[in-house]
Amino acid sequence: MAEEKTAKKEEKVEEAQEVKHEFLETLKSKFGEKILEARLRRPRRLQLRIKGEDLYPVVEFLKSSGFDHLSCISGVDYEDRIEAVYHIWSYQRRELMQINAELPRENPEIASLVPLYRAADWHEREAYDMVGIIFKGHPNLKRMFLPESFQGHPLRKDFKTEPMSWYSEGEAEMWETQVEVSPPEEGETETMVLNIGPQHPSTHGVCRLVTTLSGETVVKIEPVIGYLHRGVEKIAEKRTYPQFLPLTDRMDYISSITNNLAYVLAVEELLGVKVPERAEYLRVILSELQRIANHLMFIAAFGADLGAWTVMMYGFREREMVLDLMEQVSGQRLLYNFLRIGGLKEDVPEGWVENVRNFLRVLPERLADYKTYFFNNEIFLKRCEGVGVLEPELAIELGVTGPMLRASGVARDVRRDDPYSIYDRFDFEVVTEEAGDTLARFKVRFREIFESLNIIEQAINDLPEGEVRSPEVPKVIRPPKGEAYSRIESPKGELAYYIVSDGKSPNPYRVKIRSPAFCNLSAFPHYATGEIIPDMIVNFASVDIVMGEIDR
Amino acid sequence: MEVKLPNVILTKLDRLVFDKARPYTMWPLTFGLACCAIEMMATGCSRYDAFERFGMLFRATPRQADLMIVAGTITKKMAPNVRRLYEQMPEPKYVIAMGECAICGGPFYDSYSVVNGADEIIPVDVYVPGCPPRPETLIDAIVKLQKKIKEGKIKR
Repeated sequence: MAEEKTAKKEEKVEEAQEVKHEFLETLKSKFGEKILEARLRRPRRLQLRIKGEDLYPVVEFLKSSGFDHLSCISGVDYEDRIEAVYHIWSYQRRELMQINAELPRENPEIASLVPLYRAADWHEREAYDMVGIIFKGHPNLKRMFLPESFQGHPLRKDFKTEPMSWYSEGEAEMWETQVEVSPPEEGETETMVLNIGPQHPSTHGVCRLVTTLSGETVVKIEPVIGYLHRGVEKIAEKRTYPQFLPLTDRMDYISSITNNLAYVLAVEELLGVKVPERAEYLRVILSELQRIANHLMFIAAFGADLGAWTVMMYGFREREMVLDLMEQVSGQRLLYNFLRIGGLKEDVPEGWVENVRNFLRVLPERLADYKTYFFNNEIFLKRCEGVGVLEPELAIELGVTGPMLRASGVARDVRRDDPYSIYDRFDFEVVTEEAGDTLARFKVRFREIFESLNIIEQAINDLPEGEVRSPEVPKVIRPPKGEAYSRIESPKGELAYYIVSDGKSPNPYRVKIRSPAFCNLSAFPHYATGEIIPDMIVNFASVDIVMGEIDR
Repeated sequence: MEVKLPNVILTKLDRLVFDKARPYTMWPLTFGLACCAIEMMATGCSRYDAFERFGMLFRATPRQADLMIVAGTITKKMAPNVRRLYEQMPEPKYVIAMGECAICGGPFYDSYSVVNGADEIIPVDVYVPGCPPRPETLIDAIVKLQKKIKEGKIKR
């Protein structure tokens, strides 16, 4: 059976390679000299190298041939040039195109992609903030995380950071963030500006929403983020590959295993290491447990935002069960740091698998209570039904991923579309809901818990014996020169790590994190405007954000 | 003529009465910054249920709160806001620095945008180590703070 499966897989890969070559040939014949390099890095990963000024026509052609999801935009500073790197995924072709656009270092200007993909808006602002690439034609090119008065761009190689920086009173003024709100035009009714956050119980951390109200209706929302910007991507350049691993935990602190996994997968791709079977299975079990913990946390926080404090208590009660299981393997309750490059830190303790089985038995019983609590609860339904409808076309255009996209009826899941680890061996349903409203987003997450239980059960039944750490991994990790882009389905959506290695140093040359909540939050103003202010809180809660991951 | 007052102690009302009562009605501010905030929530929810047993009730506005639990990394962008929230709290007020980041910047100590410790901007009474600290550790910190208040060790 297993042999058959692998044989099938190989066949698929071969077929796919031919198709990809074909597409690269079309590109080459269409653009000729403009394509400096076109190659297939590995199955499902294409790479193009072009000059900065040719970007727009190439991407326009790509979009017309099915590359519809702009996954990530990042900038890399190579001392002699700057590269704007675009990752565009095609859901039809199931391939990822990476475009490296070369720019001169003195004047890094490139055409903005906002007319093609609306998702580019926030990504480009981030790249401008961090690397200083100027996107011509961008409607609102401001800094994303740092204040406007900040000097320099942190991810340039010549931006020096102090070993210990002390905080001075003068600095406070510089970092104080003012948001200018334009006065109403003549003939408009007078509006009121309500500033929500950064300290507010329902902003799930330190997000700030500058909201313009006309009466009770929300006219405009401007999220101001960066209040938890810890400069992780810059710190990564000062740490070795294993040293950076604990920091990935602190990115999305509600689901840290998945962050570990995405990072570890990228480094393993660079190194070309194969992970032992048992470790692969345990990784899947752990990340699905993590997904359950994340969704339970979402349910708890969502209840709290609706004023249903009981739900908060319920959610945390069940979450503690998952935390216990995690604590048994890693010794930590929240930030596990359990995955390692080439496997796991150690094998799971004796009897742990039995505990997981027990958990699989207990959780559905407990969740049955939730069903009556939510779906028979008129107040809950009234507050969620039909609120904040996100249309599927808009969602795709805005780069929304994960449960939020699936709630709009688009069945897309990285676990199935671009399988990583060993997800292609499991049988699971991609949960979707048609409505696209807040209730649908809640339902999708609720139903996904059951799917995760299903995957865990399959994985536990097939769990092989053996070692959990690959002996191939060298003591000092110095990956060969190259780039890797690992995408995974984190509980919040598509999480990706883009790592560049220069081949010499034990530190990564550049680490870029594509965070799902960042893109999902950028969609929030689009569907929450035009509704009343109490619904805005519900809409905001349904995004399921974690600021640590958004601000990095 | 010498006035003699036998069996009389002179003290402040504050010290004699209120400092004995205050430890049991500390109202913390609903204020989470990062990872530690999740553990702070866990401390207050099922299983630990620690806050309400200590007479602590989370308040969403600083004007009704007298305890600030700094749970998470303070970035330079957030620092002016933390300072302002502290100033908005009425006296007497106490601060618990929860987690490595609030103690010294933690794993982000060499970042360009992180304040290395809450005590750079506000006075701290109790430090809670851990990344993140377990709920038990936070409960211990609360007990320590109560003891400190009762013994009058907090200087104002």
